[in-house]
Amino acid sequence: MKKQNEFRRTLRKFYRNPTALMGIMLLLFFVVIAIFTPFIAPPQDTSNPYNMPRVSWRPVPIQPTADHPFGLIDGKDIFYGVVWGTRTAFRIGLIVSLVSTLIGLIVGSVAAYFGGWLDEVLMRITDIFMSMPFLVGAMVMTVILGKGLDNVMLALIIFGWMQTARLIRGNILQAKEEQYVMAAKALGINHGYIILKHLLPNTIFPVIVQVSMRMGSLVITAAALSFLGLGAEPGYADWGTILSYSRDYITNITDTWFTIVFPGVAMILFVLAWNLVGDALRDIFDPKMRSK
Amino acid sequence: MTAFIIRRLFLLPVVLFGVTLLLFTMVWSLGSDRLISLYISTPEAMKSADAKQRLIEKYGLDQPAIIQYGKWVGNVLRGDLGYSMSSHQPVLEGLLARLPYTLELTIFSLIPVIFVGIWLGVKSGVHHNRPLDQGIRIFAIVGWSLPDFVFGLLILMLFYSQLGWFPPGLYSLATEQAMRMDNWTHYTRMVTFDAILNWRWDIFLDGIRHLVAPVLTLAYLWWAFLLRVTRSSMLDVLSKDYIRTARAKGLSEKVVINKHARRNALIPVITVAGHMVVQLMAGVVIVETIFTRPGIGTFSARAAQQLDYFAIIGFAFFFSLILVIGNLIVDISYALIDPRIRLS
Repeated sequence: MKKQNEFRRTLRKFYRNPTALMGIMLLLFFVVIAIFTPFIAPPQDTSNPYNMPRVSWRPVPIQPTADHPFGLIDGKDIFYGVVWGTRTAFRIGLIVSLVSTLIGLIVGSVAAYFGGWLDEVLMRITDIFMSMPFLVGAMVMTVILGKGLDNVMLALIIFGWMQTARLIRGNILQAKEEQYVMAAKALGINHGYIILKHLLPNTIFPVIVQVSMRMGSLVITAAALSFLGLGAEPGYADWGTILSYSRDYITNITDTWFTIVFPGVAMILFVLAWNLVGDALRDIFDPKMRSK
Repeated sequence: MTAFIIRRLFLLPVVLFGVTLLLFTMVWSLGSDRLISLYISTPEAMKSADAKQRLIEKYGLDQPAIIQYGKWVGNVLRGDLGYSMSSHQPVLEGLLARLPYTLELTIFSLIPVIFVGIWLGVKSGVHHNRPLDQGIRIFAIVGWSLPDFVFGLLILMLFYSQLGWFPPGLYSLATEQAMRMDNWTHYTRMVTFDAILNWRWDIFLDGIRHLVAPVLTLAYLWWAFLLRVTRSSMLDVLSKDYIRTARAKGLSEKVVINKHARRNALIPVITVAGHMVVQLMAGVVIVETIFTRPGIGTFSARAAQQLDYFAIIGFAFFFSLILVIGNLIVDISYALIDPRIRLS
């Protein structure tokens, strides 16, 4: 009963927050596009819809027309790429953040709960992975693994779990001194059950906020790798790939603006949506803000 | 205090050892067939039928992993990071030759990032939930959501293609000619600092002109970050009892904010700013590529595109060395500033 009220109060706060509402609307907009992608931009080759079809043999940017509202670059329809790129962005963001968060949760909670040498070893491994900036680590990893979206996602997962691990470790270290955990331990309940049923539900909220905030940076990093020529295969419907084509035609603004603006704005709005939602969630769950 | 520093100093080699292990595992997992490409300098080398096998044996790629690792670490300790195929020079030499350009960009970015970021954060905290605060928060979240390369491309499009104010690259043709003259001395290899030391203001201004666009790109991203940290720290401090006391005893609002609140609010900001410096250097990879500045970022991007494994691994190791040592300096100096850290 109390939980229900808490939940409703959270929802109400969320709706009253104009920026959060804007984030949700933007996110819904992208979800709708991702669901109806085949109807908005029907693929020519249904077996491989993520490959942007070639509609022209001229590689230079071609101004938007009625048939191709966002113009062409490298002979490919930018509109098609932007629409199918929405699905790519969701796929990268969701898979990478879910898997890396899961790894982080396991490492962090095991380290905090068992403590001692296990904690020391796991945290030093975390330090080692953290001693390379995210983009640098992901870059090295994609060079080793080779091109392709799956490899990009793997690289992002390998260098993306550490923050969650540290966050959850800190939270569990605090929570494990609480009496209900002591009581559970005294009753001889097994460790996995205590972590799953008692510790994680009480410590996971900051992680959820972090996941939402991280979705944006993951999509940016994946696109940055594509932009550097290390990400998705050439011709793959991905915002970063389209932007990497436009890099070669930067000198004349009137002829090329659409090659940067359309995929660029799509990406900015996508990232903004997740950040707005994450920001609102943080404000709502932050006890310091709540008391005011 | 000493125990804290000793522990941190002891952990430094442990972490660095781990980094070498991680990087070696990555390279080693490529297998000898792909690694051999690093040693083939001419097509002729592969002509004979047993050339591949000979090369594998010559460079010891068929030896057990642990021996290969030992050799590699030995080389790294002697400063030999291998030979870069993409830039036709030893990796370390290539990195050190390009480091000044990256450092210059980092130094010039830090000044606006730190001052403007903190200034906006304090303003936002003082005007909590009022229009100014809302405006600054929107500014911050938009900056945080802007992918650096999209923003960089837009800036390049506007300020270079359209207005012609801030061209990409390091310097203009006239500067390049001036630098080739006999009376020009290369002190630091950083354009702006060399210009000051050579007393050439026109060249200094030329260097600045080429720095504005990349600095703006880097700065907006990190303003967003720093001002959010400053804002929440400021809010935290402003709710403290001693602020209420200061106001109660009739101090002017200006004194309360500047003397009592801001100074304390900046303590956590200092650590964050310290760690930010290192992260900011990582952002340089993208920014340098967009604005065609020949720093270590451009070096690594080209190495990555051409599958120049030694160069990319050397770059990663070089970077983590900077990061680990940088973070150590920040943590120790933070412990010196704030006695509460030492106790825990």
